[in-house]
Amino acid sequence: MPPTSERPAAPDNRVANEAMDRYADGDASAFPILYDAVAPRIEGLVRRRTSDASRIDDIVQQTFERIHRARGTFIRGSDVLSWAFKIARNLCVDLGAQGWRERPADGQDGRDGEPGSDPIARAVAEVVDAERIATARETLGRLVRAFRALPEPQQLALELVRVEGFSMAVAAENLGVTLPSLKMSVFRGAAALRDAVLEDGEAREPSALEKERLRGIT
Amino acid sequence: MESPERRNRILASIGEIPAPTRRELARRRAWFVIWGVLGALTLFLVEGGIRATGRPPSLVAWTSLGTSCFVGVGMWFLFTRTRSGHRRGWSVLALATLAPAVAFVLWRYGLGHLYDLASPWPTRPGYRCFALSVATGSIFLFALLLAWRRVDPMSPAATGAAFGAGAGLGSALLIDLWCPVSYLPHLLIGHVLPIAVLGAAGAAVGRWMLRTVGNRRVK
Repeated sequence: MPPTSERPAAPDNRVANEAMDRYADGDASAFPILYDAVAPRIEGLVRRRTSDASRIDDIVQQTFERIHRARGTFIRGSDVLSWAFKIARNLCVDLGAQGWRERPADGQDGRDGEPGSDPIARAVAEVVDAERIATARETLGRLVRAFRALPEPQQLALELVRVEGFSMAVAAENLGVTLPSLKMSVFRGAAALRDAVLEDGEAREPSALEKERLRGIT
Repeated sequence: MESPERRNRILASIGEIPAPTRRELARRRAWFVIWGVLGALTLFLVEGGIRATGRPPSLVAWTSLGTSCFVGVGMWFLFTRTRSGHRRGWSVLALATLAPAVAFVLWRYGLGHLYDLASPWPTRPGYRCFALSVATGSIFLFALLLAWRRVDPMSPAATGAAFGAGAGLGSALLIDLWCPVSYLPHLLIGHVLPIAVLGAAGAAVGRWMLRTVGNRRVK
């Protein structure tokens, strides 16, 4: 996945939600629309947890099969992406695809900050511009290591809120935690990442431009 | 990223898997819930139905009114989902079970004291109430599990626990109309313990009965 130049905007799920609404009512023609709107996002979520292509394929397929079987339970007007993410995340746990916590946190699984093969580095790369990755590889490596060292609730909270653009309220419902707890996880996770990135070996004060960009990440 | 081959495969596989639509599921749920309620009520009536047994009618009315309110609030949290369509978290479910149960005991015990009917009653430890609560609640719980079978892709255990606790609260409301005893140990064993038992049973059975399953598995 090539890095994009901007953070993803808050997801506009209107098309997916409308398609899911129609599909839940029995309109089979809505399923391809739903698939096209949701599949890339689910695949992105799964890719951050495993690089095994067949496993990714399997989890995406099972996610859609479960959405299909449970279509009658979809509440009109609710958020299908949040729903799909929770299903996919459960499947990742069930099928042992939790790569970002299985990988070592000391950068031994590849070059630090190289986004090419690392799902977490790719996830981070999605939210920063390509030019910055080229010039701040070391910073990115610290960010990736810091992210892996975070407790799981903070990782999941940051993923939903900062990477996927969910609102705090929807993310809290998705993770089954209270809103204050979710906010605390995001705050602490972001603070840990910020500290890790600003922790410079030469004790160099980041420039105003760097600080501005870091705010965009964390 | 996205492969056309997988897209075609998934679209084809979806067509082969039967899945109820919203309307079909609503009809199925309505039938099972009605049969569950009727089954529980039938058992309750067979066992004697509403019995004042020396209680003033005003006490029966007040305890039932209070219990209905507590149970109604608890059931609302247990049976409904969030705006995003997720089942509420375990902590909320636990609170929605415990709070009405505690409120019920305090209400019932307090009113019993008020009417001077909360004195110890050693011959009624609460086993009969326990048995009837579990029996009536089980009928309702089983109906709920059948109505929601294989359609919970996210949190089947939590849903089962919520259904069990909700069925337990419902049976507590019924048994409250049947049992004259306000003795605290009796209330705990005969009226509150069944809520916990049914909640645990709902979680255990719901885990496999409510979950949706995919067709393919990683080899």
